[in-house]
Amino acid sequence: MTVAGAGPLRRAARAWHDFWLAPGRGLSLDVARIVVGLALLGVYGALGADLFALYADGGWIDRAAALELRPVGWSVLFWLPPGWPQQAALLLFVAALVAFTLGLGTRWVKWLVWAGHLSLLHRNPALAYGLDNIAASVLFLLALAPIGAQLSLDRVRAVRRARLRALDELPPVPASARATLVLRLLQIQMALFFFVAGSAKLQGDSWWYGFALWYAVNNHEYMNLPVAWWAEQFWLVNVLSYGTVLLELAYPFLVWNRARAAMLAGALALHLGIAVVLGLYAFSAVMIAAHLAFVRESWWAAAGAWWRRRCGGMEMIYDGHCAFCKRSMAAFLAFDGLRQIAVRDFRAQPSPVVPDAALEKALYLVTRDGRALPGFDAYRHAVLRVPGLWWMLPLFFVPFVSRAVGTRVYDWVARHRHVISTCGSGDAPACAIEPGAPPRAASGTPAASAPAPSRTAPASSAR
Amino acid sequence: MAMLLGTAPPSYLQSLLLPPWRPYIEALHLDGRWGFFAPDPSAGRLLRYRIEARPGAEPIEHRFTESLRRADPAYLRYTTLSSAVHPERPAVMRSVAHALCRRHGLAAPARIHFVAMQQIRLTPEEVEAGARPLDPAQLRSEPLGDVECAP
Repeated sequence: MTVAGAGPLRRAARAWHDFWLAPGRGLSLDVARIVVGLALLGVYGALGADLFALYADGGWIDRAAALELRPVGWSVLFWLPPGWPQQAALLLFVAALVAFTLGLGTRWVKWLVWAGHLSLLHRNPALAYGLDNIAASVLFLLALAPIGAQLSLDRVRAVRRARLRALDELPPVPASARATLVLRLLQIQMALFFFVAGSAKLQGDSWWYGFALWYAVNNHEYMNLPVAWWAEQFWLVNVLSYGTVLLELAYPFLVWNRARAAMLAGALALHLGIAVVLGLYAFSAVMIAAHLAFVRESWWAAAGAWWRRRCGGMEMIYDGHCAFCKRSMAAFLAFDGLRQIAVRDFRAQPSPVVPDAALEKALYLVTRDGRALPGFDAYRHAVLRVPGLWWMLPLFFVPFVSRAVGTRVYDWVARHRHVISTCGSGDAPACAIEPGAPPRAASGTPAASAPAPSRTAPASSAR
Repeated sequence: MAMLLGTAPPSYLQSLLLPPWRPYIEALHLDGRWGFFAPDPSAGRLLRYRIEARPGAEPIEHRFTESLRRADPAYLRYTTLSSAVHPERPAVMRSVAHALCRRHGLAAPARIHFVAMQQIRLTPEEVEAGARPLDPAQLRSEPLGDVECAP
């Protein structure tokens, strides 16, 4: 029986099932993973030696004090002896946070991060504030989710493996009911969170009469901006105090329907405001990450399509007879999650834009407006436009240095690419680079140990 | 359900429903308070302490909260820690005092005397007239007590 022909009960059951369990890819969860990871690295990783003083024995809070604050708390740190075992556990937690943020070994490292955060939270409850409460909930839900399938080094490694088989292959991201379930739980949590926060504020005179923000910005702990400025702009105090309560009360009801974008924009503005005005940066980051659960998959897809239209349409032309070139292309393109770069092996498919003689010397990138950029400039152009490659920006855009060093390094590698390709194949002489010898690739002369390049030869014949 | 019960205000219904969930909620720290800055934002509290050294030495005054740098990643951790120092939590007060005794070991401290400086709320008019939240006249001193340094 189709849903259209089913009774209202069955349609309701189907809607209920789809609400919770319709398979989804949960890109928001991986974005949230990165934002939460960065925020917690800022909170824990940046502490330096304070990490030990704040959370290990022999620091500010001994075990008796911790148990006085939270008698039922458990912590891995309670089970470890003082000294290096506790310090090693804390460093392991920070390392796990780095891996969690990068998405390396995400399937198990997420549990380590969650247990680590709870362990620190319970080891020293005297340090806990709003950030820790919300992070505990969000990390728990992220641990239940199939995170790491996107925007992660795990994904990069999977794509690289696929691209080593065929450079234009991109394995699909599996859809999962678990991703949808966790997204729904996160959504409900945020709606509930705002409702509790908003309704609790209604009990306070300062919120009711619109001057609560004045109290907050006068508190030494949150005095991030000059108080005198707020005194001169008291109307703003009123607007922001009332706006906060209104948003927190409206959000749980309106975020589910057509007002979702407006509610999300309001929540984003609220938390950016909290970060700037009160200096609660990490708290705001984790809250924004959790609100991302309401970003529809179609919105992410539309944003990706827009970016691809704007910065995609590039073609990288490489030498299919060079195994090293293919390996490095596979690694480079593994970060191109939006498929902005197409690939062409000029040995098999000659380029109508770049002549073969030029391609013998360097890889080329043909931009969407038809420009052909060689070698270092090709990479530089792509790195700026492919979001997954932005981590390389510091390497490619240091004024003067990047170009001076990068061009030389690229040219050397390009000249010796056939040697590099065969080096490590077990043939020791293959690694020898004769000083003063004419560059084999640049002259178009085939490497002695590699078959002669030919337009008709299959791309894999050089391996 | 855990989310709902963990954050709900105390009520008869909650007291009936919460007990079976409590161990799970507490172990996973799902009972954090979410009513931030509610019902009203607090006025602010600064922690200061005086090191009373061995007989014959002058006591040394220190400002705990005010000496923190806002840009320090540990800033909010230490301000939160200072809020936990209260006579109602003697073990916490003792632990923080002993940490301070160790840090000031060179001064040969005998005991730490804690003082909370409560901020007095200012009106916008007072601020426009030149008053500032941390002016001495805007802080009310509240002695928290002494803790002996461990021998």
